[in-house]
Amino acid sequence: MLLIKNDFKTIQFAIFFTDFDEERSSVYRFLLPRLLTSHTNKLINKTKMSEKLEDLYGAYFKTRVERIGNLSIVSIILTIVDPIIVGDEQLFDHALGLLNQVLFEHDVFNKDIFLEEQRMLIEQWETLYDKKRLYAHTKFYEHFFKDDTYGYPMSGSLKDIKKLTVEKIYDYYKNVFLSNTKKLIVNGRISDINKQKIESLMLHDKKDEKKHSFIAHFRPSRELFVVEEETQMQQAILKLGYHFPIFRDDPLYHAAVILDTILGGYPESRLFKEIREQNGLCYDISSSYDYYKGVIMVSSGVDLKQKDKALEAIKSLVIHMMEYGIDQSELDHAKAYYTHQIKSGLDSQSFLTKRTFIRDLLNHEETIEERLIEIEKVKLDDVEKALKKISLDTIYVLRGGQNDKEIL
Amino acid sequence: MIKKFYERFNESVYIIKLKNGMQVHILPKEEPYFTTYVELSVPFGALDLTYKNKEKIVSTPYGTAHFLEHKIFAMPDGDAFGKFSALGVEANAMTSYNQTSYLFTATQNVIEALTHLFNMIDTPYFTTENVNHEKHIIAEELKMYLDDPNVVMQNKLTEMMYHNHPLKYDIGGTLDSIMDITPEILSNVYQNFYHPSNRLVTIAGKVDVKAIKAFFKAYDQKNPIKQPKIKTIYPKESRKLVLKNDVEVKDVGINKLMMGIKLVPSKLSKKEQIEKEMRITMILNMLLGSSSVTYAKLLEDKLINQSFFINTTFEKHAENIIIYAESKKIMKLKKILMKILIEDASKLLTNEAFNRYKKVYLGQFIFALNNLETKAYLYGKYQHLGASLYDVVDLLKKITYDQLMEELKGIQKKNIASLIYKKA
Repeated sequence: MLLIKNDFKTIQFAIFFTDFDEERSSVYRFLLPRLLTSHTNKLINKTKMSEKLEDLYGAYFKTRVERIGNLSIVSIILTIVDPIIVGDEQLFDHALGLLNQVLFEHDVFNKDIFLEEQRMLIEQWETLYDKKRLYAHTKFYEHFFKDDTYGYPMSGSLKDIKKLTVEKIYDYYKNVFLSNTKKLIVNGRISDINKQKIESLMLHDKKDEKKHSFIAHFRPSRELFVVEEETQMQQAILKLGYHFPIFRDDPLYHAAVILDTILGGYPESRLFKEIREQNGLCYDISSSYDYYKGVIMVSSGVDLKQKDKALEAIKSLVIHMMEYGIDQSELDHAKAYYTHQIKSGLDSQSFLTKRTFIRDLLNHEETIEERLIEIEKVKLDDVEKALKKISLDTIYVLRGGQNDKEIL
Repeated sequence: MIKKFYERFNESVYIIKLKNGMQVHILPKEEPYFTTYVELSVPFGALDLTYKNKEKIVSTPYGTAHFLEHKIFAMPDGDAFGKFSALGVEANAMTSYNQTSYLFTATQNVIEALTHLFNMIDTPYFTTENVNHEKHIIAEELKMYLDDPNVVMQNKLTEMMYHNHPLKYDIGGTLDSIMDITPEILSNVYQNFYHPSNRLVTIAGKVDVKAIKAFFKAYDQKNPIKQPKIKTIYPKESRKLVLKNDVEVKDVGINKLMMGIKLVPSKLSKKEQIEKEMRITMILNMLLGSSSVTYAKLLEDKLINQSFFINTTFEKHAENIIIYAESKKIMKLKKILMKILIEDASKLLTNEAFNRYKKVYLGQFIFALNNLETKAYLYGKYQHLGASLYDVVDLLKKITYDQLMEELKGIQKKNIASLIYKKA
């Protein structure tokens, strides 16, 4: 258990379950946190669970599944108001009791609740096509990360969901999930007595289990792969996947973060200034760097009639950056912006909780101060070295059809 | 400078009232804290389309406030974002129905960024070229929303509910209306609504109160003139709906239902208006929220999925509730929702749930205080409505169960519009 003591007005109890990321377990890991937080042995249905949370001053669970390199992380976070502010001496104990129930007190899963969650997940798939941005994102991942678990749907495929039974998921919970590497992080104003109570929550699971070895890896770059899909919509969504083999532990990591900021990380970025502000081709455009996978992804919703022009402009912009580099003022501005992002993150309770977990998971020793020093050290030369590693790998376009209604 | 202390939440507020009418509210956080949040807002939003200027009625195109928000960043020497970035601060802006806000977060160079923010606001730079250029960008923003069926449905539903009230149009306007916006329109609006007397500044987080006070003292000396406030003119709106029901066949995965309840706007003081909004929200949560009997039953009968949501809007002369659901049994769902709202509601609102919701609201208030941006935004919003964020908790205490039952009467069958997107 890791404890972050501070004066936020809420307390977060966050538990992270870590396992290797595998296609066959995706559907279990996606549905499980929903089942665990929907009912327990004592709170037998969703209504009882909601009533309990409301009674705890609107406390809430936030669950998430995410991929970090070769690992799959399920997080279940319970947030409550600081009991001192509402003057409720029992609130802490009740919240801790609820967390314990949610994590460990399930003799069975209610079949009706399971079927309900399964139905809702199936319906989520059935409406994916209606949500064009999400659909484009899903399809792009499918192509860019083909033959990699990153390309497999986080929720499992529709076939996986339909095949799942309440018995199978309960078996996974008991025999696999509860044996995952678990890390509890508590963030908020905690007294010593309450600290002891939290520690006792995890007592029956004291064996500080196997550690999963972390691997950051992606396939080699390939010849440019282009997919274009037509649908009914007003815009065209462009997704460009760049191979960028610089990972979290690479000496060029900080330069890579700055490069991504300059490319499309903020309103002063090249993409924002040139594609949106100068050429007026889009409203939204950005880049994101996944340092666990060694890729940069560019995303934009552009004017349908000018999608070819926009695509060429984005490609040329990156090529120009690779050939001519960046200038000192761009570097200085990006460093200032990124430094601000890191510092302001320290005022966010959720950021601190997540950061504490990641540092523990990846055995990172670097402090915030050390990180800021490393960013400050980044030179033009470092960014240019990083730029040499970029290669365009995949383009995905989702666009409205030629016969769609003209609106301008 | 006035100082207020709210002991229960351990929160202080410093208020500076400038001679020119501008108000500055400071919500400091004790060390260790790194971020300063600054928001400058004007009570001019998407609904402020028609106003009286020197005995002349001026009408502007839908989406003018949002367009102006975009163009305020244009300066003679380039885009204002450049300097914010160079200072290492993150700037943004947003337009709602009733206000426009310009904001930044900083962990350094606060006074420099504040100077730049005021320089930007005080330097309108609207040219035919930059206004026409912005039309392309905003058109793409609007099209982005138009590719989302929820937004399209909501636009259509508000058109079914309102005859004349500007709430029937999207905050950003329409693809046609933004084409009518000119530099002259923006200049006129700017002169009337953006003067210092109309501005509210909220500063939260890490604050050097002395430095902030000195900044605004100097600003007041340079800009001492107080201007009268301009009043927005709203068109007369019938209590009746434009269209009660509509069904459209669409290429969607699952049928979609959106119901809109047009409430009768009340002539209440601003505080009473906030109380009313709280009562309505409480009723809806008790009737259809996640712990309600009805919600559980709708799930059990496979009538709704996780997309189900309820939204309330309380604006000047227009108040409504919107309910959205996806369902494979859409007609049955519509019938049941109607029955819940019209016939069963009074039986479903229990005293027990009422008391639980009071605790939830207190909790939600504390959650909001925990987030700097949410706290400062809500503080500014309530201030424009004539209330203090910290007084809102006391308003909550005043709400009684009987008041909720009385409020229910405002939900009437004749005022419910419904739009269905049926799967092709």
